[in-house]
Amino acid sequence: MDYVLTCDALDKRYGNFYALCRLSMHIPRGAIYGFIGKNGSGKTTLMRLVCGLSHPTAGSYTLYGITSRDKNICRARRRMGAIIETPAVYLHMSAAENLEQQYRILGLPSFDTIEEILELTGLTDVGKKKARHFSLGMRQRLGIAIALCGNPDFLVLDEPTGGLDPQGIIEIRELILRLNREQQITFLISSHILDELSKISTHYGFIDRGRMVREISAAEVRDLCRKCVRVTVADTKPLCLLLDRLELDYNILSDTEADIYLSPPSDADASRCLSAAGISVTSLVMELSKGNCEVLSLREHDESLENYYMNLIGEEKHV
Amino acid sequence: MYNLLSAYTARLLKDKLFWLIECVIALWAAYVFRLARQSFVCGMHHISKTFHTNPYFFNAAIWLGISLALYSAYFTGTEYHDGILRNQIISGHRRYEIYLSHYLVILLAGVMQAAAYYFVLITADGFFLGFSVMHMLVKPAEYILLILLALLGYSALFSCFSMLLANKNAAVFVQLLLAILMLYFGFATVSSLQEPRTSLVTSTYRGENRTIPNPNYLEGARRELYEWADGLNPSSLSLHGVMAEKKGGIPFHAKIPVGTALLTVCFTAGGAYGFSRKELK
Repeated sequence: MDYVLTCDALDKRYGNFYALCRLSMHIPRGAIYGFIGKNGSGKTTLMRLVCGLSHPTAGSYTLYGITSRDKNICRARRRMGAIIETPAVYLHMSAAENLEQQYRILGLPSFDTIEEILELTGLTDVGKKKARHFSLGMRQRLGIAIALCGNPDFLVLDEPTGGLDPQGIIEIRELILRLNREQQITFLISSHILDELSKISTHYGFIDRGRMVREISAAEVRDLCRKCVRVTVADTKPLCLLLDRLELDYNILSDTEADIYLSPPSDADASRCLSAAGISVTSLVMELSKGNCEVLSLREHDESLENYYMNLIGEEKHV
Repeated sequence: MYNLLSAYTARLLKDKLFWLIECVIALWAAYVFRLARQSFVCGMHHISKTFHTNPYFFNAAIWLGISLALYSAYFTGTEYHDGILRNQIISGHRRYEIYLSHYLVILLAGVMQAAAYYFVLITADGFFLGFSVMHMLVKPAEYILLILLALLGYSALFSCFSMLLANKNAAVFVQLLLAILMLYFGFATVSSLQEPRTSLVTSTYRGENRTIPNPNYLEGARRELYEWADGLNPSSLSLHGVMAEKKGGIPFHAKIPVGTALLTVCFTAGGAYGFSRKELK
Protein backbone atom coordinates (compact mmCIF):
# COMPACT_ATOMS: atom_id res chain seq x y z
CA MET A 1 0.00 0.00 0.00
CA ASP A 2 1.22 3.49 -0.83
CA TYR A 3 1.59 5.63 2.29
CA VAL A 4 1.86 9.39 2.33
CA LEU A 5 3.03 9.44 5.93
CA THR A 6 4.47 6.77 8.16
CA CYS A 7 5.72 7.29 11.68
CA ASP A 8 8.13 4.83 13.20
CA ALA A 9 8.40 4.68 17.01
CA LEU A 10 8.22 8.44 17.45
CA ASP A 11 9.07 9.81 20.87
CA LYS A 12 8.63 13.35 22.07
CA ARG A 13 9.78 14.07 25.55
CA TYR A 14 9.50 17.25 27.61
CA GLY A 15 11.70 16.68 30.61
CA ASN A 16 10.39 13.47 32.16
CA PHE A 17 7.03 13.68 30.43
CA TYR A 18 6.48 11.68 27.24
CA ALA A 19 4.05 13.52 25.00
CA LEU A 20 4.54 10.76 22.42
CA CYS A 21 5.80 7.30 23.26
CA ARG A 22 6.92 4.98 20.48
CA LEU A 23 4.08 6.07 18.26
CA SER A 24 3.71 4.46 14.86
CA MET A 25 1.23 5.51 12.23
CA HIS A 26 0.44 4.82 8.58
CA ILE A 27 -1.63 7.12 6.41
CA PRO A 28 -2.54 5.66 3.03
CA ARG A 29 -2.61 7.88 -0.01
CA GLY A 30 -6.09 9.27 -0.69
CA ALA A 31 -7.36 8.52 2.82
CA ILE A 32 -9.18 10.76 5.22
CA TYR A 33 -7.42 9.69 8.38
CA GLY A 34 -9.32 10.50 11.54
CA PHE A 35 -6.94 10.91 14.44
CA ILE A 36 -8.89 10.42 17.63
CA GLY A 37 -7.84 11.00 21.20
CA LYS A 38 -8.84 12.94 24.24
CA ASN A 39 -7.38 16.31 25.18
CA GLY A 40 -3.68 16.03 25.95
CA SER A 41 -3.28 12.64 24.31
CA GLY A 42 -0.64 13.85 21.84
CA LYS A 43 -2.56 14.59 18.65
CA THR A 44 -1.32 18.14 18.20
CA THR A 45 2.19 17.15 19.27
CA LEU A 46 2.36 14.58 16.50
CA MET A 47 1.04 17.04 13.93
CA ARG A 48 3.58 19.62 14.96
CA LEU A 49 6.35 17.07 14.57
CA VAL A 50 5.20 16.11 11.10
CA CYS A 51 4.95 19.78 10.06
CA GLY A 52 8.48 20.52 11.26
CA LEU A 53 7.41 22.85 14.07
CA SER A 54 8.99 20.57 16.63
CA HIS A 55 11.74 17.92 16.64
CA PRO A 56 11.27 14.30 17.74
CA THR A 57 13.29 13.08 20.69
CA ALA A 58 13.61 9.66 19.09
CA GLY A 59 12.22 7.76 16.14
CA SER A 60 11.46 9.14 12.74
CA TYR A 61 8.72 9.71 10.23
CA THR A 62 8.64 9.42 6.49
CA LEU A 63 6.79 11.85 4.29
CA TYR A 64 6.42 10.86 0.63
CA GLY A 65 9.26 8.42 1.08
CA ILE A 66 11.65 10.99 2.54
CA THR A 67 12.71 10.36 6.09
CA SER A 68 12.66 13.14 8.68
CA ARG A 69 16.43 12.89 9.18
CA ASP A 70 17.03 13.63 5.51
CA LYS A 71 17.80 17.29 4.80
CA ASN A 72 15.41 17.09 1.83
CA ILE A 73 12.42 16.67 4.15
CA CYS A 74 11.68 20.35 3.53
CA ARG A 75 11.15 19.53 -0.12
CA ALA A 76 8.59 16.87 0.82
CA ARG A 77 6.72 19.42 2.97
CA ARG A 78 6.10 21.56 -0.09
CA ARG A 79 3.47 18.99 -1.04
CA MET A 80 1.55 19.52 2.15
CA GLY A 81 -0.51 22.17 3.86
CA ALA A 82 -1.59 22.37 7.47
CA ILE A 83 -3.61 24.16 10.09
CA ILE A 84 -2.21 23.52 13.56
CA GLU A 85 -4.38 24.65 16.45
CA THR A 86 -5.37 28.05 15.02
CA PRO A 87 -5.38 29.24 11.41
CA ALA A 88 -2.23 31.20 10.60
CA VAL A 89 -3.45 34.37 8.91
CA TYR A 90 -2.32 37.98 8.90
CA LEU A 91 -5.05 39.68 10.86
CA HIS A 92 -4.40 43.08 9.30
CA MET A 93 -4.79 41.78 5.74
CA SER A 94 -7.81 40.75 3.73
CA ALA A 95 -8.41 37.18 2.53
CA ALA A 96 -6.99 37.88 -0.93
CA GLU A 97 -3.93 39.65 0.52
CA ASN A 98 -3.27 36.70 2.80
CA LEU A 99 -3.37 34.36 -0.15
CA GLU A 100 -1.09 36.66 -2.15
CA GLN A 101 1.44 36.55 0.69
CA GLN A 102 1.25 32.75 0.75
CA TYR A 103 1.73 32.65 -3.01
CA ARG A 104 4.88 34.78 -2.62
CA ILE A 105 6.17 32.50 0.13
CA LEU A 106 5.63 29.50 -2.13
CA GLY A 107 7.18 31.28 -5.12
CA LEU A 108 4.11 30.81 -7.29
CA PRO A 109 4.45 32.88 -10.47
CA SER A 110 1.00 34.44 -10.65
CA PHE A 111 -2.05 35.20 -8.53
CA ASP A 112 -4.56 33.95 -11.11
CA THR A 113 -5.81 31.00 -9.10
CA ILE A 114 -6.53 32.98 -5.93
CA GLU A 115 -10.14 33.61 -6.95
CA GLU A 116 -10.63 29.90 -7.50
CA ILE A 117 -9.40 29.04 -4.03
CA LEU A 118 -11.57 31.76 -2.47
CA GLU A 119 -14.58 30.35 -4.32
CA LEU A 120 -13.77 26.80 -3.25
CA THR A 121 -13.64 27.85 0.40
CA GLY A 122 -16.66 30.14 0.24
CA LEU A 123 -14.78 33.40 0.73
CA THR A 124 -15.65 35.26 -2.47
CA ASP A 125 -17.95 37.75 -0.73
CA VAL A 126 -15.55 39.02 1.92
CA GLY A 127 -14.05 41.77 -0.26
CA LYS A 128 -11.43 43.88 1.48
CA LYS A 129 -12.56 42.99 4.99
CA LYS A 130 -9.57 42.42 7.26
CA ALA A 131 -9.14 38.98 8.76
CA ARG A 132 -9.39 40.38 12.28
CA HIS A 133 -13.07 41.11 11.58
CA PHE A 134 -13.77 37.57 10.37
CA SER A 135 -15.85 35.13 12.35
CA LEU A 136 -14.13 31.98 13.63
CA GLY A 137 -15.63 29.94 10.81
CA MET A 138 -14.41 32.38 8.18
CA ARG A 139 -10.91 32.38 9.67
CA GLN A 140 -10.96 28.60 9.64
CA ARG A 141 -11.93 28.65 5.98
CA LEU A 142 -9.24 31.21 5.23
CA GLY A 143 -6.74 28.95 6.99
CA ILE A 144 -7.83 26.08 4.75
CA ALA A 145 -7.59 28.37 1.71
CA ILE A 146 -4.01 29.24 2.65
CA ALA A 147 -3.23 25.58 3.20
CA LEU A 148 -4.59 24.86 -0.30
CA CYS A 149 -2.22 27.30 -1.98
CA GLY A 150 0.28 25.53 -4.16
CA ASN A 151 -2.03 22.51 -4.77
CA PRO A 152 -0.93 20.32 -1.90
CA ASP A 153 -1.91 16.68 -1.93
CA PHE A 154 -1.70 16.18 1.82
CA LEU A 155 -3.51 18.35 4.34
CA VAL A 156 -3.05 18.21 8.09
CA LEU A 157 -5.98 19.73 9.97
CA ASP A 158 -5.92 20.01 13.73
CA GLU A 159 -9.51 20.13 14.98
CA PRO A 160 -10.81 22.01 11.93
CA THR A 161 -14.36 22.24 13.29
CA GLY A 162 -13.36 23.47 16.72
CA GLY A 163 -15.56 26.37 17.84
CA LEU A 164 -17.72 26.32 14.71
CA ASP A 165 -21.50 26.48 14.64
CA PRO A 166 -23.45 23.55 13.09
CA GLN A 167 -23.61 25.28 9.70
CA GLY A 168 -19.87 25.87 9.75
CA ILE A 169 -19.20 22.26 10.70
CA ILE A 170 -21.29 21.03 7.78
CA GLU A 171 -19.50 23.36 5.37
CA ILE A 172 -16.06 22.26 6.46
CA ARG A 173 -17.06 18.61 6.30
CA GLU A 174 -18.43 18.99 2.79
CA LEU A 175 -15.34 20.87 1.71
CA ILE A 176 -13.09 18.08 2.98
CA LEU A 177 -15.13 15.40 1.22
CA ARG A 178 -15.14 17.41 -1.99
CA LEU A 179 -11.39 17.99 -1.96
CA ASN A 180 -10.76 14.31 -1.23
CA ARG A 181 -13.10 13.19 -4.00
CA GLU A 182 -12.20 15.73 -6.70
CA GLN A 183 -8.54 16.39 -6.04
CA GLN A 184 -7.57 13.15 -4.27
CA ILE A 185 -6.12 15.10 -1.38
CA THR A 186 -5.08 12.95 1.59
CA PHE A 187 -6.21 14.28 4.95
CA LEU A 188 -4.96 13.84 8.50
CA ILE A 189 -7.67 15.28 10.73
CA SER A 190 -7.55 15.30 14.48
CA SER A 191 -10.66 15.66 16.55
CA HIS A 192 -12.37 14.56 19.69
CA ILE A 193 -15.82 14.94 18.07
CA LEU A 194 -16.27 11.31 17.01
CA ASP A 195 -19.58 11.85 15.35
CA GLU A 196 -18.08 14.31 12.90
CA LEU A 197 -15.12 12.12 12.08
CA SER A 198 -17.32 9.07 11.61
CA LYS A 199 -19.10 10.88 8.76
CA ILE A 200 -15.95 11.48 6.70
CA SER A 201 -13.05 9.27 7.76
CA THR A 202 -11.83 6.32 5.77
CA HIS A 203 -9.25 5.34 8.38
CA TYR A 204 -8.86 5.91 12.09
CA GLY A 205 -5.97 6.15 14.48
CA PHE A 206 -6.76 6.05 18.18
CA ILE A 207 -4.21 7.66 20.45
CA ASP A 208 -4.08 7.67 24.22
CA ARG A 209 -1.37 9.09 26.48
CA GLY A 210 1.05 9.48 23.58
CA ARG A 211 0.66 5.93 22.30
CA MET A 212 -1.15 4.70 19.20
CA VAL A 213 -3.71 2.28 20.59
CA ARG A 214 -5.06 1.06 17.27
CA GLU A 215 -5.16 1.89 13.61
CA ILE A 216 -8.14 0.61 11.75
CA SER A 217 -10.01 1.31 8.56
CA ALA A 218 -13.54 2.67 8.57
CA ALA A 219 -14.78 -0.56 6.94
CA GLU A 220 -13.34 -2.62 9.78
CA VAL A 221 -14.91 -0.28 12.33
CA ARG A 222 -18.28 -0.67 10.63
CA ASP A 223 -17.93 -4.44 10.80
CA LEU A 224 -17.02 -4.29 14.45
CA CYS A 225 -19.83 -1.87 15.27
CA ARG A 226 -22.60 -3.69 13.36
CA LYS A 227 -26.03 -3.81 14.93
CA CYS A 228 -26.65 -7.26 16.35
CA VAL A 229 -28.55 -9.31 18.88
CA ARG A 230 -26.26 -10.60 21.60
CA VAL A 231 -27.52 -13.93 22.90
CA THR A 232 -26.38 -15.85 25.92
CA VAL A 233 -27.14 -19.56 25.62
CA ALA A 234 -26.34 -22.69 27.52
CA ASP A 235 -24.17 -23.96 24.70
CA THR A 236 -23.24 -22.27 21.45
CA LYS A 237 -22.79 -25.52 19.49
CA PRO A 238 -26.49 -26.09 18.73
CA LEU A 239 -26.72 -22.33 18.19
CA CYS A 240 -24.10 -22.50 15.45
CA LEU A 241 -25.84 -25.41 13.75
CA LEU A 242 -29.13 -23.59 13.73
CA LEU A 243 -27.69 -20.31 12.52
CA ASP A 244 -25.82 -22.09 9.73
CA ARG A 245 -29.05 -23.78 8.72
CA LEU A 246 -30.80 -20.41 8.67
CA GLU A 247 -27.86 -18.94 6.76
CA LEU A 248 -27.39 -16.03 9.15
CA ASP A 249 -24.23 -14.07 9.94
CA TYR A 250 -22.99 -14.51 13.46
CA ASN A 251 -19.89 -14.26 15.60
CA ILE A 252 -19.15 -16.60 18.50
CA LEU A 253 -17.77 -14.66 21.43
CA SER A 254 -17.41 -17.51 23.91
CA ASP A 255 -18.88 -20.93 24.81
CA THR A 256 -22.09 -19.25 25.85
CA GLU A 257 -22.26 -15.97 24.00
CA ALA A 258 -22.70 -15.00 20.39
CA ASP A 259 -23.66 -12.00 18.26
CA ILE A 260 -26.25 -12.46 15.56
CA TYR A 261 -26.05 -9.57 13.14
CA LEU A 262 -29.00 -7.35 12.41
CA SER A 263 -27.32 -5.06 9.87
CA PRO A 264 -25.36 -6.06 6.79
CA PRO A 265 -21.55 -6.03 6.77
CA SER A 266 -19.52 -3.46 4.93
CA ASP A 267 -19.20 -5.75 1.93
CA ALA A 268 -22.96 -5.37 1.70
CA ASP A 269 -24.12 -8.97 1.57
CA ALA A 270 -27.41 -7.98 3.09
CA SER A 271 -29.12 -11.32 2.79
CA ARG A 272 -27.39 -12.84 5.78
CA CYS A 273 -28.76 -10.53 8.46
CA LEU A 274 -31.84 -11.11 10.55
CA SER A 275 -33.84 -8.19 9.25
CA ALA A 276 -33.25 -9.02 5.58
CA ALA A 277 -33.90 -12.72 6.18
CA GLY A 278 -37.35 -11.81 7.49
CA ILE A 279 -36.79 -13.62 10.78
CA SER A 280 -38.06 -11.93 13.92
CA VAL A 281 -36.38 -12.31 17.28
CA THR A 282 -39.42 -14.20 18.59
CA SER A 283 -39.21 -16.81 15.85
CA LEU A 284 -35.46 -17.06 16.35
CA VAL A 285 -35.87 -17.86 20.04
CA MET A 286 -38.58 -20.40 19.21
CA GLU A 287 -36.30 -22.08 16.67
CA LEU A 288 -33.50 -22.19 19.22
CA SER A 289 -35.82 -23.69 21.77
CA LYS A 290 -36.95 -26.38 19.31
CA GLY A 291 -33.30 -27.15 18.64
CA ASN A 292 -32.67 -27.70 22.39
CA CYS A 293 -30.69 -24.53 22.69
CA GLU A 294 -31.64 -22.81 25.92
CA VAL A 295 -31.61 -18.99 25.60
CA LEU A 296 -30.52 -17.43 28.87
CA SER A 297 -30.56 -13.77 27.80
CA LEU A 298 -30.92 -11.66 24.74
CA ARG A 299 -30.26 -7.98 24.09
CA GLU A 300 -29.79 -5.67 21.13
CA HIS A 301 -26.23 -4.52 20.76
CA ASP A 302 -25.30 -1.43 18.77
CA GLU A 303 -21.76 -0.26 19.20
CA SER A 304 -21.16 3.22 18.03
CA LEU A 305 -17.74 4.59 17.23
CA GLU A 306 -17.90 6.32 20.61
CA ASN A 307 -18.50 3.05 22.46
CA TYR A 308 -15.80 1.37 20.45
CA TYR A 309 -13.37 4.14 21.36
CA MET A 310 -14.32 4.07 25.06
CA ASN A 311 -13.94 0.28 25.17
CA LEU A 312 -10.61 0.56 23.40
CA ILE A 313 -9.26 3.17 25.78
CA GLY A 314 -10.69 1.26 28.69
CA GLU A 315 -8.78 -1.86 27.60
CA GLU A 316 -5.63 0.21 27.14
CA LYS A 317 -5.86 1.47 30.71
CA HIS A 318 -6.03 -2.09 31.98
CA VAL A 319 -3.04 -3.24 29.96
CA MET B 1 15.09 32.24 0.27
CA TYR B 2 14.27 34.60 -2.58
CA ASN B 3 10.57 33.78 -2.12
CA LEU B 4 10.73 34.67 1.56
CA LEU B 5 12.56 37.92 0.87
CA SER B 6 10.00 38.80 -1.75
CA ALA B 7 7.13 38.11 0.67
CA TYR B 8 8.73 40.05 3.54
CA THR B 9 9.63 43.01 1.35
CA ALA B 10 6.10 43.14 -0.02
CA ARG B 11 4.77 43.09 3.52
CA LEU B 12 7.23 45.80 4.60
CA LEU B 13 6.29 48.06 1.72
CA LYS B 14 2.56 47.63 2.42
CA ASP B 15 2.90 48.15 6.15
CA LYS B 16 1.15 51.32 7.34
CA LEU B 17 3.19 51.46 10.54
CA PHE B 18 6.42 51.46 8.57
CA TRP B 19 5.30 54.37 6.41
CA LEU B 20 4.07 56.22 9.48
CA ILE B 21 7.56 55.88 10.96
CA GLU B 22 9.03 57.10 7.66
CA CYS B 23 6.74 60.16 7.80
CA VAL B 24 7.74 60.91 11.39
CA ILE B 25 11.40 60.61 10.43
CA ALA B 26 10.89 62.90 7.46
CA LEU B 27 9.20 65.49 9.68
CA TRP B 28 12.05 65.21 12.17
CA ALA B 29 14.55 65.75 9.35
CA ALA B 30 12.64 68.87 8.30
CA TYR B 31 12.79 70.15 11.88
CA VAL B 32 16.53 69.42 12.13
CA PHE B 33 17.06 71.24 8.85
CA ARG B 34 15.23 74.24 10.29
CA LEU B 35 17.66 74.27 13.21
CA ALA B 36 20.62 74.02 10.81
CA ARG B 37 19.22 76.84 8.71
CA GLN B 38 18.89 79.02 11.81
CA SER B 39 22.57 78.46 12.56
CA PHE B 40 23.46 79.63 9.09
CA VAL B 41 21.18 82.62 9.31
CA CYS B 42 22.89 83.56 12.60
CA GLY B 43 26.23 83.21 10.86
CA MET B 44 27.55 80.52 13.21
CA HIS B 45 29.98 79.44 10.52
CA HIS B 46 31.55 82.88 10.64
CA ILE B 47 31.46 83.28 14.42
CA SER B 48 32.89 79.93 15.53
CA LYS B 49 36.00 78.33 14.04
CA THR B 50 34.93 74.93 15.35
CA PHE B 51 31.40 75.09 13.91
CA HIS B 52 30.46 72.24 11.61
CA THR B 53 27.16 70.63 10.61
CA ASN B 54 27.79 67.02 11.70
CA PRO B 55 25.42 67.25 14.72
CA TYR B 56 22.56 68.09 12.33
CA PHE B 57 23.41 65.77 9.47
CA PHE B 58 24.18 62.74 11.63
CA ASN B 59 21.42 63.40 14.14
CA ALA B 60 19.74 60.21 12.87
CA ALA B 61 22.26 58.22 14.90
CA ILE B 62 20.52 59.08 18.13
CA TRP B 63 17.15 57.55 17.31
CA LEU B 64 17.97 55.03 14.54
CA GLY B 65 18.66 52.17 16.95
CA ILE B 66 15.54 52.82 18.97
CA SER B 67 13.21 53.03 15.96
CA LEU B 68 14.73 49.87 14.46
CA ALA B 69 14.42 48.04 17.81
CA LEU B 70 10.73 48.88 18.00
CA TYR B 71 9.96 48.12 14.38
CA SER B 72 11.82 44.79 14.26
CA ALA B 73 10.01 43.61 17.41
CA TYR B 74 6.68 44.56 15.83
CA PHE B 75 7.47 43.05 12.40
CA THR B 76 8.67 39.69 13.69
CA GLY B 77 6.23 39.69 16.60
CA THR B 78 3.35 39.87 14.14
CA GLU B 79 4.72 36.82 12.33
CA TYR B 80 4.76 34.92 15.61
CA HIS B 81 1.43 36.22 16.89
CA ASP B 82 -0.46 35.49 13.66
CA GLY B 83 1.23 32.10 13.25
CA ILE B 84 2.79 32.96 9.89
CA LEU B 85 6.19 31.54 10.84
CA ARG B 86 4.44 28.18 11.11
CA ASN B 87 3.15 28.54 7.57
CA GLN B 88 6.63 29.22 6.27
CA ILE B 89 8.09 26.12 7.90
CA ILE B 90 5.16 23.96 6.80
CA SER B 91 5.60 25.32 3.25
CA GLY B 92 9.06 23.77 3.17
CA HIS B 93 11.38 26.68 3.95
CA ARG B 94 14.40 25.89 6.06
CA ARG B 95 14.67 27.69 9.38
CA TYR B 96 17.98 29.36 8.64
CA GLU B 97 16.47 30.78 5.42
CA ILE B 98 13.58 32.23 7.40
CA TYR B 99 16.01 33.71 9.92
CA LEU B 100 18.34 35.24 7.32
CA SER B 101 15.40 36.66 5.39
CA HIS B 102 14.19 38.38 8.54
CA TYR B 103 17.66 39.78 9.14
CA LEU B 104 17.86 41.19 5.63
CA VAL B 105 14.41 42.74 5.76
CA ILE B 106 15.15 44.38 9.13
CA LEU B 107 18.36 45.71 7.60
CA LEU B 108 16.37 47.04 4.65
CA ALA B 109 13.90 48.71 7.05
CA GLY B 110 16.83 50.38 8.86
CA VAL B 111 18.40 51.58 5.62
CA MET B 112 15.05 52.98 4.45
CA GLN B 113 14.56 54.79 7.75
CA ALA B 114 18.00 56.38 7.50
CA ALA B 115 17.41 57.13 3.83
CA ALA B 116 14.15 58.94 4.63
CA TYR B 117 16.01 61.21 7.02
CA TYR B 118 18.88 61.99 4.68
CA PHE B 119 16.69 62.41 1.63
CA VAL B 120 14.63 65.15 3.28
CA LEU B 121 17.70 66.81 4.80
CA ILE B 122 19.75 66.80 1.59
CA THR B 123 16.79 67.93 -0.54
CA ALA B 124 15.97 70.79 1.83
CA ASP B 125 19.64 71.69 2.10
CA GLY B 126 20.01 71.82 -1.67
CA PHE B 127 16.81 73.78 -2.19
CA PHE B 128 17.18 76.36 0.58
CA LEU B 129 20.89 76.59 1.40
CA GLY B 130 22.63 75.41 -1.75
CA PHE B 131 24.06 72.36 0.04
CA SER B 132 25.71 74.51 2.70
CA VAL B 133 24.99 71.92 5.42
CA MET B 134 26.72 69.22 3.44
CA HIS B 135 29.55 71.56 2.51
CA MET B 136 30.40 71.97 6.18
CA LEU B 137 30.45 68.29 7.09
CA VAL B 138 33.48 66.72 8.70
CA LYS B 139 34.50 63.42 7.06
CA PRO B 140 31.00 62.63 5.68
CA ALA B 141 31.98 59.47 3.77
CA GLU B 142 33.59 57.89 6.81
CA TYR B 143 30.64 58.60 9.07
CA ILE B 144 28.09 57.39 6.54
CA LEU B 145 30.06 54.15 6.35
CA LEU B 146 29.93 53.96 10.15
CA ILE B 147 26.15 54.36 10.09
CA LEU B 148 25.88 51.53 7.57
CA LEU B 149 28.07 49.34 9.77
CA ALA B 150 25.91 50.30 12.73
CA LEU B 151 22.79 49.22 10.80
CA LEU B 152 24.40 45.83 10.12
CA GLY B 153 25.05 45.43 13.83
CA TYR B 154 21.62 46.67 14.91
CA SER B 155 19.86 44.34 12.48
CA ALA B 156 21.87 41.35 13.72
CA LEU B 157 21.13 42.13 17.36
CA PHE B 158 17.45 42.92 16.99
CA SER B 159 16.76 40.06 14.57
CA CYS B 160 18.28 37.67 17.10
CA PHE B 161 16.10 38.83 19.95
CA SER B 162 12.89 39.21 17.99
CA MET B 163 13.27 35.79 16.35
CA LEU B 164 13.99 34.04 19.63
CA LEU B 165 11.38 35.84 21.73
CA ALA B 166 7.94 34.67 20.60
CA ASN B 167 6.18 37.23 22.78
CA LYS B 168 5.93 40.56 20.94
CA ASN B 169 5.72 42.63 24.13
CA ALA B 170 8.75 40.93 25.65
CA ALA B 171 10.71 41.55 22.45
CA VAL B 172 9.73 45.25 22.43
CA PHE B 173 10.79 45.65 26.06
CA VAL B 174 14.10 43.82 25.73
CA GLN B 175 15.07 45.50 22.46
CA LEU B 176 14.10 48.99 23.59
CA LEU B 177 16.07 48.56 26.79
CA LEU B 178 19.05 47.27 24.80
CA ALA B 179 18.86 50.19 22.37
CA ILE B 180 18.80 52.75 25.18
CA LEU B 181 21.66 51.05 27.04
CA MET B 182 23.75 50.89 23.86
CA LEU B 183 23.10 54.57 23.25
CA TYR B 184 24.12 55.45 26.81
CA PHE B 185 27.32 53.41 26.63
CA GLY B 186 27.93 54.69 23.11
CA PHE B 187 27.93 58.30 24.31
CA ALA B 188 30.28 57.39 27.15
CA THR B 189 32.63 55.46 24.85
CA VAL B 190 32.84 58.08 22.12
CA SER B 191 33.29 60.90 24.66
CA SER B 192 36.13 59.02 26.33
CA LEU B 193 37.86 58.12 23.08
CA GLN B 194 37.65 61.70 21.88
CA GLU B 195 39.55 63.06 24.88
CA PRO B 196 42.69 64.85 23.60
CA ARG B 197 46.13 63.76 24.71
CA THR B 198 46.88 67.21 26.22
CA SER B 199 44.93 70.07 27.73
CA LEU B 200 45.62 73.76 27.37
CA VAL B 201 45.65 75.40 30.79
CA THR B 202 45.70 79.15 31.35
CA SER B 203 47.32 80.28 34.54
CA THR B 204 45.60 83.37 35.91
CA TYR B 205 48.47 83.98 38.31
CA ARG B 206 51.12 84.41 35.72
CA GLY B 207 48.79 84.99 32.70
CA GLU B 208 50.45 82.30 30.63
CA ASN B 209 49.15 79.26 28.75
CA ARG B 210 50.60 75.85 29.43
CA THR B 211 49.93 72.49 27.85
CA ILE B 212 49.58 69.65 30.32
CA PRO B 213 48.79 65.97 29.81
CA ASN B 214 45.05 65.25 29.91
CA PRO B 215 44.38 62.84 32.81
CA ASN B 216 41.21 61.61 31.00
CA TYR B 217 43.11 60.58 27.89
CA LEU B 218 42.89 56.83 27.31
CA GLU B 219 46.02 54.93 26.48
CA GLY B 220 47.42 51.44 26.48
CA ALA B 221 45.11 48.61 27.50
CA ARG B 222 42.31 50.96 28.51
CA ARG B 223 42.26 52.51 25.06
CA GLU B 224 42.20 49.00 23.51
CA LEU B 225 39.24 48.07 25.68
CA TYR B 226 37.31 51.22 24.81
CA GLU B 227 38.06 50.74 21.10
CA TRP B 228 36.65 47.21 21.29
CA ALA B 229 33.59 48.56 23.10
CA ASP B 230 33.32 51.13 20.33
CA GLY B 231 33.58 48.54 17.55
CA LEU B 232 31.11 46.16 19.17
CA ASN B 233 28.45 48.77 19.93
CA PRO B 234 26.44 49.90 16.89
CA SER B 235 25.22 52.98 18.76
CA SER B 236 28.79 53.99 19.45
CA LEU B 237 29.65 53.74 15.74
CA SER B 238 26.70 55.82 14.67
CA LEU B 239 27.50 58.50 17.28
CA HIS B 240 30.96 59.15 15.80
CA GLY B 241 29.38 61.46 13.24
CA VAL B 242 27.19 63.38 15.70
CA MET B 243 29.99 63.91 18.23
CA ALA B 244 32.79 64.48 15.74
CA GLU B 245 35.05 67.39 16.45
CA LYS B 246 36.23 69.85 13.85
CA LYS B 247 39.60 68.13 13.71
CA GLY B 248 37.94 64.79 12.89
CA GLY B 249 37.13 63.13 16.20
CA ILE B 250 38.15 59.52 16.74
CA PRO B 251 40.37 58.07 14.02
CA PHE B 252 38.89 55.12 12.18
CA HIS B 253 40.42 52.11 13.90
CA ALA B 254 40.58 48.47 12.79
CA LYS B 255 38.35 47.31 15.62
CA ILE B 256 35.38 49.05 14.01
CA PRO B 257 34.94 46.70 11.02
CA VAL B 258 36.24 43.72 13.01
CA GLY B 259 33.89 44.42 15.91
CA THR B 260 30.92 44.92 13.59
CA ALA B 261 31.73 41.72 11.72
CA LEU B 262 32.10 39.81 15.00
CA LEU B 263 28.83 41.16 16.36
CA THR B 264 26.96 40.48 13.12
CA VAL B 265 28.34 36.99 12.62
CA CYS B 266 27.96 35.89 16.24
CA PHE B 267 24.42 37.13 16.73
CA THR B 268 23.27 35.98 13.29
CA ALA B 269 24.82 32.52 13.63
CA GLY B 270 23.72 32.17 17.23
CA GLY B 271 20.25 33.44 16.49
CA ALA B 272 19.87 31.15 13.47
CA TYR B 273 20.98 28.16 15.51
CA GLY B 274 18.64 29.06 18.38
CA PHE B 275 15.74 29.51 15.98
CA SER B 276 16.47 26.16 14.31
CA ARG B 277 16.09 24.39 17.66
CA LYS B 278 13.11 26.41 18.83
CA GLU B 279 9.80 24.71 19.40
CA LEU B 280 7.21 26.79 17.59
CA LYS B 281 3.72 26.99 19.03
